[in-house]
Amino acid sequence: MIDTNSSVDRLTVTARRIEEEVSKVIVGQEGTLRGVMICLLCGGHALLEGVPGLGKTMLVRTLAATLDLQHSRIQFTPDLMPGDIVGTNILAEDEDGQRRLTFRPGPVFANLVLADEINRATPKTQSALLEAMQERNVSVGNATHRLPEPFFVLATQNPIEMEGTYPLPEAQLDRFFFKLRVGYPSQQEMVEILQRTTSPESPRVERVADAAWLLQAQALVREVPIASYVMEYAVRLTMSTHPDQPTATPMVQKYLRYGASPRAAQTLVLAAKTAALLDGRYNVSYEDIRQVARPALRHRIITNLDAELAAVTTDDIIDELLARLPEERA
Amino acid sequence: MMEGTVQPLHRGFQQARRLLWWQEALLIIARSLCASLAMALVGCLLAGWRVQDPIPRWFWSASGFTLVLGLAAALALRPSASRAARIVDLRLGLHQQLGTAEELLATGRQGGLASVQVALASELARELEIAKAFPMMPKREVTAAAILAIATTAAATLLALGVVLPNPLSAIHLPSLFGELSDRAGTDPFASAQDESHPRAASPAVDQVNQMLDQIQRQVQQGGLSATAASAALAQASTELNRVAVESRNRQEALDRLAAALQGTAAGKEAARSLQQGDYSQAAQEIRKMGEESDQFSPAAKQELADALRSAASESKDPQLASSETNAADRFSQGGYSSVVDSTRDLAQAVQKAADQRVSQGDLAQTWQRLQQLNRQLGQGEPQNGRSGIAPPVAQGPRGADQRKTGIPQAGRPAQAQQGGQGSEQGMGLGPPQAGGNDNGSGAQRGSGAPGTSPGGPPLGEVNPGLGPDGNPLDVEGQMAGRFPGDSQDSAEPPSIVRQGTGAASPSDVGGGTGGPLSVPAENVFVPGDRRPTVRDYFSNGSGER
Repeated sequence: MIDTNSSVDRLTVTARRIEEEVSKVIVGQEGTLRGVMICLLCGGHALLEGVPGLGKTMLVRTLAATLDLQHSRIQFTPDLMPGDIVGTNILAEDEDGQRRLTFRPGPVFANLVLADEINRATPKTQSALLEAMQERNVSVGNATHRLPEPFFVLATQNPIEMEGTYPLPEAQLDRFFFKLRVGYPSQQEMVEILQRTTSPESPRVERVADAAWLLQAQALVREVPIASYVMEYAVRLTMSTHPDQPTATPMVQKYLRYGASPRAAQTLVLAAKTAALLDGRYNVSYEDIRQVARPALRHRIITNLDAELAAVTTDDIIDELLARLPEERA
Repeated sequence: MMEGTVQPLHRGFQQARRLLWWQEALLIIARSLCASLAMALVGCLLAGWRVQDPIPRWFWSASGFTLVLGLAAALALRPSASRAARIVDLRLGLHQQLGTAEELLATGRQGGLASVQVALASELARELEIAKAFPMMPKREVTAAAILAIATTAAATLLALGVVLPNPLSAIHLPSLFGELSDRAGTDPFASAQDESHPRAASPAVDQVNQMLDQIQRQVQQGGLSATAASAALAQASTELNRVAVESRNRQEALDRLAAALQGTAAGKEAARSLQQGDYSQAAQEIRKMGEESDQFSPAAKQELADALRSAASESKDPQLASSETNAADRFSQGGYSSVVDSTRDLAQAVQKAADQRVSQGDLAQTWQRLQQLNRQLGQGEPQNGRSGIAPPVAQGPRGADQRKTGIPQAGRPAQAQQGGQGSEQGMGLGPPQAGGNDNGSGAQRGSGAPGTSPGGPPLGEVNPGLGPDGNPLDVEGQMAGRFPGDSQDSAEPPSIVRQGTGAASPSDVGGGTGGPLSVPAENVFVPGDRRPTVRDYFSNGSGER
């Protein structure tokens, strides 16, 4: 018990240090940073969405700097090919002077992959990365290559309405653990950003964790107990996103085309466990489920045309669900 | 997991369960008390409004049973530890720590973070003031119970003092809530539905009598009225009630005569049928239509209508209706189209007005019952020589659907449509007015109400010797007592008053009331001074006996 307790303490302390180190560079964005941390501790991938210039790439780069992990960055462009991501077989001479096909790994072979502006690449290229995210291995030619552990993709994208973008298909979006929206900083934060970025000194970030810690933390997170009725709440929340369910709210019935998948419920519970641990608790509460509901569900529910016409977002629908769904079953 | 570690947790769960039981039990008891008090209040109000008096015993039993049921439900409560823990979590904002620990203990899951969680929850339970999660006072329910208790006590006190509460529902005709007391509904479901769909307000005239009774009751309770004065006032109220009954009967007879007269005409058959069916609104419309279509009538048909209307007017006891009938008859005989239309409109209005001014039998019976109760309270209902009480006024109520449908009077209905009822008036010379003939139904109905079976009844249009100089009937103590609700015979309704033979009601026949002792001679109370010798002679020489 003492060991477990100390492991938890080490996890929370380290996680807090990571957040502090990132905060040296990134001003504000606490929610986004906490979301990224949850993804990291759950072994899930995160999709950060926001207009250019909000620090998405900087956040991911800083996070990579705090972790002693092998990391790479892929800038997605329309002419990016799948081989540019996963790698390719090249003809090379060996020591004996014989020529043979040798696999040259792409940038996806790293612990932490920053996929910048993922929606600027063509769907074919996107799917190459997304397959790697799901299977955690890459097949090139007849050989299958295992990706390193831990494997973590942090993708950024501009809002899909912008020009020159290829929206990610829903099936591929579902593979992201969280979809985090990066918003504009406040006026005070903006002043702080300017002070930090326009002065000659740039903050230095220390490495505070490594791959071993991350794998141990990911195992520990899954041990967090959750009461059956809290888990049932997560299930009810997920089921309520289905328009054909009796528990669906009027808004869900009117504006949703498809509800969340079982993977969404898995995400809710696992993310809630991590949120509880980061909050210093050893059990999951309703509040933890509510806290992670938005980033876990917003890319897993599909709105219809009416929602677009009425400018109703998935966040609006999730908020309504959270407001209406009773915690305890009557 | 060490037992000592989780001991505080178990103790906390037990305490939470106990407190939850108390809280929920108190809540259930408070709510059942509210329900019980609410029922009691409803009972008191119904009694106070005279909608139902007395309230049946089962109603009070049900009120008490509600409380007993609440107590039983409270005793049957068995809150689980899981539920108690979850409630503590929710109310104290513990992030489901106790609930999760309880579930981990119940499922026997140990090791890793589960043990840590249970240990932390146990530590939390040790420091926690669980009682804060269970406020014992259900404020809302206690407030409601207190308000209901005060209202019920006040209503019961007023009821015990005999104060009649103002009834906000008085404008609506409410049938008796607890029994088959609605004589108009009778056994005919169609009649019941039809009558309830046209609720009828109590007559202003009857309301006036009720107000008189209220005033008497108040003054007696406050001691501001002597027994003699109270008796005199009661006699006056009785006289007033009789007058109302007579007027109502006269209106009904006038309407019936108009129906009979129009029945014999070709153009007036529809109006006659509506009148006979008691649908006076429709009848008024038919009469208006009759006038509007008069330009299509032949001179003979117009003359026929004029004769019928004159005939009805000649025997009518409703002056206004008679005037309208005469006017319409004149216009049909010699008027132009527009004057005929105007006169028939006037006649239609008069018909509607006469119908509206009739008093229902239920209203009369209820007021009469009150009068009897007051009489007994004043100690004037003691039967003396088999006579006591005040004679019941019986008037023709709105034509019931039972007669519409079958033409056969309902059993137990009070003297409705029975000419024989007048026999008592004639014979006694003091009897209350009875509703006049309203017999348009079958032969059976006519048989009971026809003068042939009631030789004591005066011919229509003649002065009833039972009435006073002003046309009002005179009352005499003892007459009809014991035949109505509240009297000793426990009859649910006023009986039909059908007299055979001499038409004089015998005291032994109708007396037997068991009211309180008389403090003054009954004839001094109910009989005007100038008539008392006549009354005494009447009873002393035995001519009043059959």
